[in-house]
Amino acid sequence: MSKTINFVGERRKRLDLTQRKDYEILKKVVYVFVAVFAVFLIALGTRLYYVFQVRGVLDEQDTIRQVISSQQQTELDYNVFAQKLKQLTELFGVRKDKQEAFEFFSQVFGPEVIISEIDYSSSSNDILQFTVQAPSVFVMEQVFATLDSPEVKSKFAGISKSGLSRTSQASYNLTLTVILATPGGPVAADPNAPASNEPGELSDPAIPGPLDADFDPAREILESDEGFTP
Amino acid sequence: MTSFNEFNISIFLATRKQMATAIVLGVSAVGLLLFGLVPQVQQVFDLRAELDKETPKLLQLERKLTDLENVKFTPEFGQADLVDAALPSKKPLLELMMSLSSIAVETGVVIQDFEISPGQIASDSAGLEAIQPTVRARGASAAVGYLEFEMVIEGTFSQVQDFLILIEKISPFTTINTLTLGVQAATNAENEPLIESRLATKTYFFTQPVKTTVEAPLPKLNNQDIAVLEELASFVSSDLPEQDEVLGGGLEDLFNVEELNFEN
Repeated sequence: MSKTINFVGERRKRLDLTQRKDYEILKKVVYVFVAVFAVFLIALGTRLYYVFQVRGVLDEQDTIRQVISSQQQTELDYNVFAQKLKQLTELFGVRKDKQEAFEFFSQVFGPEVIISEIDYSSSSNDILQFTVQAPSVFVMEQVFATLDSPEVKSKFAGISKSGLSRTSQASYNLTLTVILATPGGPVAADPNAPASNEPGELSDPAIPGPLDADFDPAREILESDEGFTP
Repeated sequence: MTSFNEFNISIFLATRKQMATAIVLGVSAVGLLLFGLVPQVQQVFDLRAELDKETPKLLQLERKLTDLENVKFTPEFGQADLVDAALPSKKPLLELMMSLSSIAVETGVVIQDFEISPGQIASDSAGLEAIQPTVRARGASAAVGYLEFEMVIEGTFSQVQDFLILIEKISPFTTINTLTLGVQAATNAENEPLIESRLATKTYFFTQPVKTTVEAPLPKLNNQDIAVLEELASFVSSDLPEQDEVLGGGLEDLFNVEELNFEN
């Protein structure tokens, strides 16, 4: 009996082994593919969801914009109204500060002293200038004493005295420049603020300079050219 | 002659179909991942960011629309006429004169002399000033211009005092700029001393161009604004109807002077 050699059998065994391995690989690849495809479908669905969401929001915005545009006149009127009111509030605020300061000074010196001139025209909104008129030098001395009193100094840190004069009617005029510290109205004295008679406390060149710290109104008036008539 | 080691696709496909399928699926999975999934995910993030950006805009627009529909019925906006009268959008020359006249009559003072330099009175000039800051009056804010008015008034002390109080309560909004109380001028019929007062006033008008966008919210009013509105309600207004046409044109005899007849 002759000995046979089966070349195909060995090859068949190898092929079967390879095909089993291929099958295992195919199964894993299918799992991976299915997973990727599932994630792709989820991503696609999510994207479509967001596309519709964004489109819905944009469409709604357009609709609202059209409605707002149809009320353009109302919006314009209201904006002008609000801006005007804001400006008026600002103007009222500035005026109120000066009115409060003026009211304070018209009462603090007593009934004999009158305020004969007021000047709100400084380029700064925080400065009030006015002239007080006293019927005699003694009343004017009281005015100076009042200005140096803690009551006045606690309300207004910067008060500058200038332009003391005697009129032909024998009354005495004194110009006062008051610095309103903040737009919110009269405030407590600032400890860092310069004293009322210190030179250079005002930066507005239109405002007359302050008087000397050791200024004595009675002496000045008596020594003036106009003389003093009791 | 074909080499033995040479790769034969036909044999490969015939003997290793599963591997071939696995390769195709693997390549497809990688392709799907790179060219399908990654761009999809990227777009999802982009869309989500866009949605996050657009949703607040939508809410803002909805809020604005609600505000716009409600604002017509607010008591504050109902007083827009008061605000317009107090701060008109044109130089309020006639309104100022009418208001001054009414408070002069009310207080009994006599306006002896007055001086005003209104410049160009037409409302267009107010708009021109707003867009040309260089020609704006010195000291005026960017949003308002003003008319300066100087006058000399005469009356008893209480009359002058009342006039000075009322002048700051007229529409258009007017403030005293400078004031000088003069000496006693004379006495009136009741023998009360009359005093003269020289005062300069500023009357303000609105010059700011108002711009807004559809998305911009409506401006909110605070308590100070509402307090100002309440104060404006007590202001004296001229109630002068707005003149939008020139009257008197085409008349043959403006001064109603009778024709002169010459007789021989």
